[in-house]
Amino acid sequence: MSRPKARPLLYVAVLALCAAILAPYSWLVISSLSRRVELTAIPLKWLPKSPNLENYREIAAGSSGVNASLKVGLRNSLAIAGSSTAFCLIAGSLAAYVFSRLRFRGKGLVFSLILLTQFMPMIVLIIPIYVVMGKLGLLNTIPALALADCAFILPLVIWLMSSYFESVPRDLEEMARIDGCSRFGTIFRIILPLSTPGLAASGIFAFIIAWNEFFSALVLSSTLRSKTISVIISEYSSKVGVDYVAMAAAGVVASLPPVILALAFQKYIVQGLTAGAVKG
Amino acid sequence: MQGRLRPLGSERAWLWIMLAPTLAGIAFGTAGSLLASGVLSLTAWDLINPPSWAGLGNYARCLGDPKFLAAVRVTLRFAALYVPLCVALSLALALLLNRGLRGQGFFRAMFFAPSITSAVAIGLVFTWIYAKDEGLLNRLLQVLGLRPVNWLGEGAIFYAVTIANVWGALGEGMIVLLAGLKAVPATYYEAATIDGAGGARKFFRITLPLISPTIFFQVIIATVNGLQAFEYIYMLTRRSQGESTMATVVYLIYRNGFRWFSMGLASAQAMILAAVIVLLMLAYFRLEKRLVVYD
Repeated sequence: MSRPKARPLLYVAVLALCAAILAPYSWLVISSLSRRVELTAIPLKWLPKSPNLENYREIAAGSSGVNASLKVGLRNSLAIAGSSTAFCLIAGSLAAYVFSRLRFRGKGLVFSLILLTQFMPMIVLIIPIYVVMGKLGLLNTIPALALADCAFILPLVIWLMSSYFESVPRDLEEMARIDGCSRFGTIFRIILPLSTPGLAASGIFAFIIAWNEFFSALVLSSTLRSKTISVIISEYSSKVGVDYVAMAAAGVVASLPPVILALAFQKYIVQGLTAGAVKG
Repeated sequence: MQGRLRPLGSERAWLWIMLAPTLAGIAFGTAGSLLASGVLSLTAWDLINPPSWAGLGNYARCLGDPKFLAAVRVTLRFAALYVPLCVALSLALALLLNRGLRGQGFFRAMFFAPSITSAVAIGLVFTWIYAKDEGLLNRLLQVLGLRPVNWLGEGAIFYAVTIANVWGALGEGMIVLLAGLKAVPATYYEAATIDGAGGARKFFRITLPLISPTIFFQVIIATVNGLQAFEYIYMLTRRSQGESTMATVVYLIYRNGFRWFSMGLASAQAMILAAVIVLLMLAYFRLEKRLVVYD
């Protein structure tokens, strides 16, 4: 569209923006690979002489106090994000199937209500959730945090999956029904296998959101039993005499799973974000 | 076609079984919690002693509480800067990427990266970037021969925090708006070129009206997120005692509820925030009829 002359300038602008946008993350990675002396050196050293992997090794070993809790936090984060994603994919795709294929009274209303809950501020829900979890003795447990995550992942999965099911031809399903396949049979043998891309997109989305969820994790866990890696990082970051380099390594570890997932499955992310958003 | 897929007889049971987990979640989790917050907001409760009826006392207390009013002011001021910045900058990035660049997918992924990195990890880096001594930004200023700035001090902190928040939200807006831009038929631009329309004219007469639904959607998302912003504020403005130098409404509720355990007061403040969000949505949807073009 633009004249060929303007092209190089455009690339320069995009590259410069890329650098600016990636700067904080790059600084996190560089810090994690530096030594403390190098980070505070004057004049400023941009890159460490040789990468220092000591902190990553220590987190993996989980030997000392901070590193031991980081390792537990990492495990908690995985368990919480993994279980809430799995649950929401199952419950969400069944519900989405109902909304896209079956007819019943009040369907439109129920569907809009479910989508509306996505906009419900977490802050309004968290106090009763905290109280109820406390009464059930579930505070500081992984199920409590996973359930809280479901509050906003489930509507998202239902939304994404029901728009995906619309693209799966109904004829196949009808033929299977005529051949004697049960309703559940058609879901598990025809609909779900054909919807793998949709399931992948929803799953990645759900996992990333659950992994990054901070507020409910902060409120619902006060012991190491259920603290996520984000909560642990946020705590250590405010302590006096915090070891920058160790925290930077922890920060990289905490942000790695979503970044890897998103880069590997970029196509799905775009699908997920734009489903329904463009048509308005 | 649809008729045959209507649930019949025993299938009706399956319908409810398939919906049960979702409906239970919505009923107990979301609707139940909202209702419970409403009821709690009318009580005084510290989690230890039994709750006592307070009527509208908590709400009255909010309106006369300078801390709460200050938090409301900060939150609104923040959202008023955050929402337009978010939408305008995301749109600028999307327009830039929509010019048929080679490697568009790569750039899109790079621009999107901040949206999916843990806000706590990035908030941590921002504290080092903004730090008064030995912070990256101040050391850069020194290299340039300029005086260091206390980025997280009074005054500057508001903008420092806003920048961090906008930075974290740009990618998502960019992806959605880029998809909107791609949905505009190329023939419209071709016709406009033949008619002799310039770049600016095409933007204001074709692009902007045609992507107005997407922009509208993005404004709503940014508003909902902006009024509830927490992670970066928590990471950048929290003091050693846990109080914030830029306490927004959400931060105040967090402190009242989970530090001081004033469950009734915190619930009332949460209900006020939710009401503000709902009112803004209604206002937006009224405006939508005038500003948004659906073809």
